[in-house]
Amino acid sequence: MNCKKNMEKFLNYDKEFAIPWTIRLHMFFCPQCRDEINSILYEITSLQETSAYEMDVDLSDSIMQKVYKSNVNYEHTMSNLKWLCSGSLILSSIVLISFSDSFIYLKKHFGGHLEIPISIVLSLIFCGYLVLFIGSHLEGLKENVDYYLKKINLF
Amino acid sequence: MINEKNTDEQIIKQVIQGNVESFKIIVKRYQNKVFSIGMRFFNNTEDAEDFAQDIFIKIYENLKSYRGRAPFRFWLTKIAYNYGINKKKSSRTEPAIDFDQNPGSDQTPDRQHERGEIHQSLMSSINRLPEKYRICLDFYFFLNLTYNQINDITGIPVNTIKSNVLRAKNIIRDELKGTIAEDYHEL
Repeated sequence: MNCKKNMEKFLNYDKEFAIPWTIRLHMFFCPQCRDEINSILYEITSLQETSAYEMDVDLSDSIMQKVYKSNVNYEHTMSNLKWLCSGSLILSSIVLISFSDSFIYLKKHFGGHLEIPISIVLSLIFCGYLVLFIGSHLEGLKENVDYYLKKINLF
Repeated sequence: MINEKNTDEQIIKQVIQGNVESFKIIVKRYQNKVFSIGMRFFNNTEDAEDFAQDIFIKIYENLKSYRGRAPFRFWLTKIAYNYGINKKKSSRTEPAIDFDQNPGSDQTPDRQHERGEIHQSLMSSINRLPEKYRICLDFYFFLNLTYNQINDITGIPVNTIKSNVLRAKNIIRDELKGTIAEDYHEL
């Protein structure tokens, strides 16, 4: 591929894709094209660090002041997937505990009535989980309840 | 720990998790670029600065709607462009657009001289284009968006964007030709 065609192809290609291998091959053998293409690429890359216009003032402080006054607040939250996993873990523990070796051993020593206090403890743990879940999703739950109440009222 | 070398997406994640101060890094990174978009729409510094402030507040308040499927700069540019279009449409007392006017002419000559010659040539070439195509070249060169992304934001056909970008690349190439020829002469 001659230099002119190669350069035309290079100028036309979209940066969404890698530089075509034919151009790379030509660059390997032609130092002039290699230097020219590398210079153009360098120039285009350095333009990304600039902008068409530059402000004389730095607006970041005034913008951040407005951001802090904004009604939108972001807080550290647990993802819904983590909530689901921990809830499933607690429920499966409640179901599976009676089959575990430790429980069978304790049952032999303390008798069959051990299941009741263990069930109470596990239920309290699950209630604690529900309280935490409802507390952290209160706003979202309120909106959903309002939405469904409106739907029921419509009927 | 968030620092200025983190990617936009990493910083956004931290902001959503409650580290609001990190948003300042995003503002510092993009304020000039958003200001430039404002200059393309409004042709004066004051309105462009107000535009930039509005955009960053809007971005902050809608961060949870950023899904991370496309680069953050694409999402930011799309919001800025749509906001600019809507604001221009709603402004009824706006004067007619003068295509001969050089946007940013309220910038001092010294400020313009500080930029490289290539930047200057590119800018004068961009400013000679019709208004709606200038912003495409800004998106390509300064915001590093692809043809398809620019088409998605502006609705301008890819081939039109390509031909304008090609013209700009040839200008860069011509400006650099002298430099490369000198290097070879020295060798």
